[in-house]
Amino acid sequence: MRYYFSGENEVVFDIEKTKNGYKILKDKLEKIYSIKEIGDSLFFSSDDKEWKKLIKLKSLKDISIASDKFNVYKGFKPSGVGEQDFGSLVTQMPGKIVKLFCSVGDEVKKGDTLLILEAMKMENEIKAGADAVVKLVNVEENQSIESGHLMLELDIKA
Amino acid sequence: MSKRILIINRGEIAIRIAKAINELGHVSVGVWTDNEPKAYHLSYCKEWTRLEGSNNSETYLNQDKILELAKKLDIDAIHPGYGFLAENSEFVRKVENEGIIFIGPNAEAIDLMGDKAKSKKLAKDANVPTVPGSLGEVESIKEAEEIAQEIGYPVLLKAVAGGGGKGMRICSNKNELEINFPAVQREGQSSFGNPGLLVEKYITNPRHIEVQILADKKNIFHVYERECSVQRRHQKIVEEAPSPFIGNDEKVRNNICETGVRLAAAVNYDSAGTVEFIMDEDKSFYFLEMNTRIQVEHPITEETTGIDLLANMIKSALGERLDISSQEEISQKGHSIECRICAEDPVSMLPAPGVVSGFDYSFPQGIRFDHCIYSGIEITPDFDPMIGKLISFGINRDVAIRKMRDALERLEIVGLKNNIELHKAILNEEKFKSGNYSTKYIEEVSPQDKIQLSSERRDEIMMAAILGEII
Repeated sequence: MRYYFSGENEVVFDIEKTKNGYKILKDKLEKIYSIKEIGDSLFFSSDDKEWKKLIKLKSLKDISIASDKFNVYKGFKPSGVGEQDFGSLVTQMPGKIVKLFCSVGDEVKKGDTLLILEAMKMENEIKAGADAVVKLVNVEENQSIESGHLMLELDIKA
Repeated sequence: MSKRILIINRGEIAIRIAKAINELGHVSVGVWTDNEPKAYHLSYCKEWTRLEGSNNSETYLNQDKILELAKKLDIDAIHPGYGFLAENSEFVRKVENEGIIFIGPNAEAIDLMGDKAKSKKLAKDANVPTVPGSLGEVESIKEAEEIAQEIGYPVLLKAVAGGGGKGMRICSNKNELEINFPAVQREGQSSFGNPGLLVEKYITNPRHIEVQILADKKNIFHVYERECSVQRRHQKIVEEAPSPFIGNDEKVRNNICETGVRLAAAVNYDSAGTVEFIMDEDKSFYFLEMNTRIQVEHPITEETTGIDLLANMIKSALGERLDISSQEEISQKGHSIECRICAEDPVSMLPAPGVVSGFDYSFPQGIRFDHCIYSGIEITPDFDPMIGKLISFGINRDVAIRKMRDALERLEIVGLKNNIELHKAILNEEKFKSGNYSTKYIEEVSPQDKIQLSSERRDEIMMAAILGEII
């Protein structure tokens, strides 16, 4: 799953679930986080020594760091082409499925357009980020979807 | 006997008032408006009711609608909080005409203190020092020079009708006065349609020091002083008690506190209120104005004196005995600091409404947090950007600073732009730490330029946010 933090500069993170936690990648920086639950609180650590409390978020639409504000997009950026590296395609913006180009079982190649989503009055081509097999199609043409909706799931070929 | 008390305010102060009402065994009645149906203060009130409408003139400022609601709900007393109708004597009279108690001072005192000219004259008559200067408009350069000679340079030339920094010029000598006199006249004429001007002593590095008053129909006590010199746009953002500038000078402290009482007595003050002064480099002080309401920064006085100002303000209005019966019972101990947490950009200090997507804290001993925040709350531009007050108390100033610094590190508000980083910069800055700073602090020291977050720290914040959402 890809996160775009788009402010004055754009920062892109890729997150992946691992056996014991999560792996987050930014450029060449890679951090593997473990998660631990104590009481009602969750803690995370990248070295299994120093643990920090996790602030549970209602949603991550935007974030401010000191004076900088970032809009956060998940899966794809509404302004352009979202290349998917990971399996789940979840939309962050409410929108409408204009065209659907694949169905379950289809083999797709990296760069293939999977569907077109109209959001914020713009058409967004959602493309496959890697060679894959379509595992799940959770939308149909002309369907309106809310933000957070899982549209497709792909099985990425190793 | 238990009274039904209506709170016609919102945010953190409505919560503070509700807590005091509940503690005293009365019934707290809160209101919600259409643009804030899930306001956090409601959760502290025993009863909630709708105040129909979505802009403030339809709701919190609508005197008739509030009175109608109060009658319908069989209300015994109304607490106005601060802002809105807190210092509106017309409203006080209307409330009292309905046989309802207004929790605040008498209308006459509000009238007298609300008028700058009247309050200045009243202060003079009560032997309370005011900023030296002309008594009325100055007609000529010659007259201005005579006054300047008498009170000493630098002086401030001020358009009678001026405001917001316009129509004001500082003159350090006779020459500058001659040049600026006609300039201020012209500015006054063009900006405010009035060329009249005043001459006042210019206080070079003023400290804002205020005295807390607590009174009922029989007694007027002072509850010591606060210093509120860290300001932006003439609004306080950090306050402390006691004043570090007065320091150990008990003579000055007693003098300013007793002067506050003298002024309050001159208007038969009978509630909680604050007399504001500016203090010069040489510790001479001058009356500025009196706030006839409970103030935002009242908690630091509560922390250092142990006196619950809100509870006593309510008791005073209901004609009940205060928790204290003599001035000697009131003493100040330790040190308290308040940081106002605002939904604003920490550098430009401009309001920044938005949604709180995550909120958490874990404070050390000695911290109090009066706030109206929860995860998911939307801070709209309809109200003041202040969303909380972080208050630290320690055995001395250094300890209060230490505790505040740690508390700021442990207060997390995610999503919404806020000024926590600015407060961190101030609490770590040398001039603030020295305790010797004036109201020009923000302008001169510019602590906002010292806000620094490494790129690693920024990445960590983003990564933590991602984890915070998906888990």
